[in-house]
Amino acid sequence: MTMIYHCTLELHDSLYFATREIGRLYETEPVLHNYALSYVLGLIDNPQYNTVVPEEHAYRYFCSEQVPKYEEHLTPLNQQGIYVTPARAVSHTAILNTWKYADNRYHVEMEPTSKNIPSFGRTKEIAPESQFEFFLITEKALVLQRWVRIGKWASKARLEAVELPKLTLHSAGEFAYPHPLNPLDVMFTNQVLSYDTVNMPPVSLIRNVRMIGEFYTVEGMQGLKIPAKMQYRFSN
Amino acid sequence: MPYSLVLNLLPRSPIPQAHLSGRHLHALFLDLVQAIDPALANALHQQQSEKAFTLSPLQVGNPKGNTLQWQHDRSISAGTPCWWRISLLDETLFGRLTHLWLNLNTQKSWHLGAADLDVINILGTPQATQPWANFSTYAQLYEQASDCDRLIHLKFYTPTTFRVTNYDCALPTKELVFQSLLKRWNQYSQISFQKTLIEPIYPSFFDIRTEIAIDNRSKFIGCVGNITFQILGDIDPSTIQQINTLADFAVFAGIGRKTPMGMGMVRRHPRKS
Repeated sequence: MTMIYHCTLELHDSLYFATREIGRLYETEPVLHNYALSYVLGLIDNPQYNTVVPEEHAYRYFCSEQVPKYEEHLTPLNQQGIYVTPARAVSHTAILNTWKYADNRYHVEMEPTSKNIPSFGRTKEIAPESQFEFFLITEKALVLQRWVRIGKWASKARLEAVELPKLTLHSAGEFAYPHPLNPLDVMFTNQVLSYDTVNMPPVSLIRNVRMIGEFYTVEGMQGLKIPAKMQYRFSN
Repeated sequence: MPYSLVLNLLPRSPIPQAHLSGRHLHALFLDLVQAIDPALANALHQQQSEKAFTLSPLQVGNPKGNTLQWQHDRSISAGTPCWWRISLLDETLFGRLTHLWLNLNTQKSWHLGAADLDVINILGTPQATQPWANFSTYAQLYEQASDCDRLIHLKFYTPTTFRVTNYDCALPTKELVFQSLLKRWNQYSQISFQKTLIEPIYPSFFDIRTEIAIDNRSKFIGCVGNITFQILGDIDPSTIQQINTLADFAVFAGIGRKTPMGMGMVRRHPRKS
């Protein structure tokens, strides 16, 4: 039976990842991608959720190559009927930090760097106490961690998951969903009519979506219509 | 379904003033289309009149609501937030360009003249802070149009000019304004309106002036400002509804010549503003 958790993530550290790079400014958009959240929640390659992936794709701290394996890692979640939606900020503030990786010796011979690694710049980060919300749709009850680590700095965040009461599945109709969505995950089962695009890698997200398709309503939460049949899909 | 999409852009390098003309923005749009559908870009390029899209001039900073820029007297420096409106009139265009809207980040960065641009986001739904983003089906436009409102306040945001025989005319008469809208409506919607629709419309107020829009090759003189048309006489509600539909459609279609080059951006206002 389908269950939906309403999850809230409260930052206890400043959160940074580069949604976009504008010259020397690395900017964090207050939107969390659902791929990232799936990793953050510890759902990937985890025996607890029965999502263990083949050895050659194992998700480890030390990786042999820096190539994302979203398809290999997320497909077991589909098989378990687990899906995480992208998160939007309920409340947030941004902070700017300047950083520099410098050589502090007095005498330095200038040599060209061998790798293309930025050495100074500014990061726009999301401040502690900012809150995000998202939905976790699952076929069976899950036990989630209370504390998670997120972003480039592995910032600490508190996770609160509340199971939504009484879901009703409605047959296909037109409805609007204001939260962000991953377009690949909804476009095959729902007809998307209009949306705003948030340009971010690896898959741009959409929000303020008007679409035709099956959806869930929740008792006591008037106006909330959550699209049904979402699962991780990949363009190739 | 007509769409009015607003792209929020951030230039990585300064955009020289010479590259801010309508012609360069037109080329940028065709480049965007070309990236995912070369045949479509070609078809759009070859369309002679009543093109299926309109483009705004590049706007710097947040929308101020009441004015739009159509000339830039200096270059735009790197990192300055800009926005740009694309409206699509063809029902199928938005769908055909879906891959573009969703895969912008995996593409190369876009060039406006010599400058690289990053697309931050694309707004396709009505927003409190951005009055130019919108969408509606043709049927909805028609159904939602008033059948009793006899006053039509139009505001010309960028210079608007009309082709009359072989020359340009900047004076927005009722025939020129509404024929322009009617032609586009009949071409792109499935709901056809009669040409006689224009007869009961009369101008009742205007506060307009001419402005020059300079293209690299020529100068276009167009009008900007407010103009109010009134529907007079004993007219049946369905005709009033059709005229109101055309007025509401103006935000998507623009009016007059060179709408794919930033001219003729028009919006209806509930009252004069």
